[in-house]
Amino acid sequence: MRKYYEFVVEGLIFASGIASIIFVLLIFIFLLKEGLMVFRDVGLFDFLFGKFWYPISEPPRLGILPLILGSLWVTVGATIISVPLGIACAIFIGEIAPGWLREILKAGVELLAAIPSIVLGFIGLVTLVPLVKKFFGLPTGLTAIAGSIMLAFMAMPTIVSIMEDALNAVPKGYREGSIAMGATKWQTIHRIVLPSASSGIIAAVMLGIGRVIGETMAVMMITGNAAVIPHTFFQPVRTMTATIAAEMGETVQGSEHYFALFAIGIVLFAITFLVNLLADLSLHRKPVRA
Amino acid sequence: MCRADMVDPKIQIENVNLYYGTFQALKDVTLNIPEREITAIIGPSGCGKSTLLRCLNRMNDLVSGTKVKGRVMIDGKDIYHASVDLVGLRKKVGMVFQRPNPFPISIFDNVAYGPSIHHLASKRQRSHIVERALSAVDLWESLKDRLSDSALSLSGEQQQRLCIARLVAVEPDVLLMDEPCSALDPIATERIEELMRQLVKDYTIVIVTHNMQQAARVSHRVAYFYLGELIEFGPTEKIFTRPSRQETEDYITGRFG
Ligand SMILES: Nc1ncnc2c1ncn2[C@@H]1O[C@H](COP(=O)(O)OP(=O)(O)OP(=O)(O)O)[C@@H](O)[C@H]1O
Ligand SMILES: [Mg+2]
Repeated sequence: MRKYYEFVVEGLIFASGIASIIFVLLIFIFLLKEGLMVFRDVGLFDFLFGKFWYPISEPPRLGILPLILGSLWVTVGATIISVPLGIACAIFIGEIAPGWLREILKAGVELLAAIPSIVLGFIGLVTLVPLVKKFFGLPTGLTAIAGSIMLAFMAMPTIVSIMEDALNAVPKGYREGSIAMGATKWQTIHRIVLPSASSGIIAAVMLGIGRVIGETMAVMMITGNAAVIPHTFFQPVRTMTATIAAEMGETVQGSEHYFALFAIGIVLFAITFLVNLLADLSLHRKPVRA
Repeated sequence: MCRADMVDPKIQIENVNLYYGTFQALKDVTLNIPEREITAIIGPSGCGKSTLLRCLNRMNDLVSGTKVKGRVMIDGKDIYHASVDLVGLRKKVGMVFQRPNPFPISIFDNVAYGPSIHHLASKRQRSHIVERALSAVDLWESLKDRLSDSALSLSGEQQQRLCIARLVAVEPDVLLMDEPCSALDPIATERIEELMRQLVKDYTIVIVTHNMQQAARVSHRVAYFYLGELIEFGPTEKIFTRPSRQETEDYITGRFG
């Protein structure tokens, strides 16, 4: 009797474990099946590096270079803003702030993470966009830079909390050893603590970037959505995610356009997969030990 | 083994009372530690040995809620005076910890760390300093070809030696060692003790140990603490052969408790 019980429980646990993998596989297969169809009509090279995205012209032109570059500009901008800020913030929370302030700041960062992205996008639209327009003297505030600033806010909680964990994981003995040698707090942080936590810091940055690349609603609301190749941060851009979100509803199922949107999904998937993989590798890189 | 007179104490601890919040960890401790000798601090767990050691380089400052009363003089200067420069103090008074704690950087960088933060030498001179410091702890011959390896790849004993070399590189006066051998095997322990005998020619060494044989083997003087109080302080052979207090005798003969 007992044996059957064990068997059933084990089986159930095994099944639920397997289920998640199966779901991922099914999604992946579906994505591939739909997305790869587009290559009946356009070549891989023309798809990735084509300069024009006119999906409903006749015949449609399905080059996603403007979209890839749009995502790239917004992401690079968000990274440039959020990484130094996030690192500074994590150092302050983890190493410098006194106990009570640390708790407040950590709660604040968690709160920032809890704000739905649509809300952030909405707030960005009515506050940040006019500000960008005025500050840089642009015809419109709906630009890559507005998206970058907004996304930097979204990436911050990820970067800060993971990096803070990484700093926490640095053995106390390293800090004590350094302080006991007469190093100042700052010398200890930047010469000992940060290098010791480097793999965690890289992972934090990667996951932050992953969050930014995949973000949709907020960027759709504030980047202007013009599918043209951007030359500066001060132009409207359209990202891959925003394209899928905006166009999926109005395309005919089974059309070239429809397949192309799935193919964009594959490209996105590949990029985020790569970024997460890099994060994972650096997080689980074992320090050399004899 | 030890000099009869104590004309020139390197460290004078005068009526030190130390509180962690409301808990008193050191009670009216007065102790003179002579120059270029090894002074061992012994006593049961929790009696305040580490606390006393950490008073001498003010590492207790890092623990919030710590209060120190009394004076600690090193070379005649009160290290708790408001004008004291902690960086300079800790350069002069180095500390070796119970668990070897080399930094997770290269062997060379570990030793060069002190000279670099204290701006002691140009980049070029640093390799000389590293060589001298590693030679002083007998690591140079075995490690000179792998200076760029991670310090974490070394054995426990080598790591502890490296931690000592790291201090030697900034030419301190005093070495504080808090149970430096407790993570090492007996053979490594013996070799570290031999190193201490070499180092004491140039440095004043204060060592905390739970190992009575170790105290007897390496130290010139022994201080026995119990519950934050200094019970007895004297030349090692006297403490181990004819202690004047019964408690001391009970502890060192293992009849304690
Ligand atoms: N940060 C602290 N806050 C409060 N109490 C402390 C703190 N550090 C040590 N103590 C207490 O002070 C007393 C002395 O501690 P200390 O670490 O100096 O003992 P020790 O003699 O070194 O012991 P051991 O042999 O176990 O290392 C102990 O009772 C300990 O509980
Ligand atoms: Mg101790």
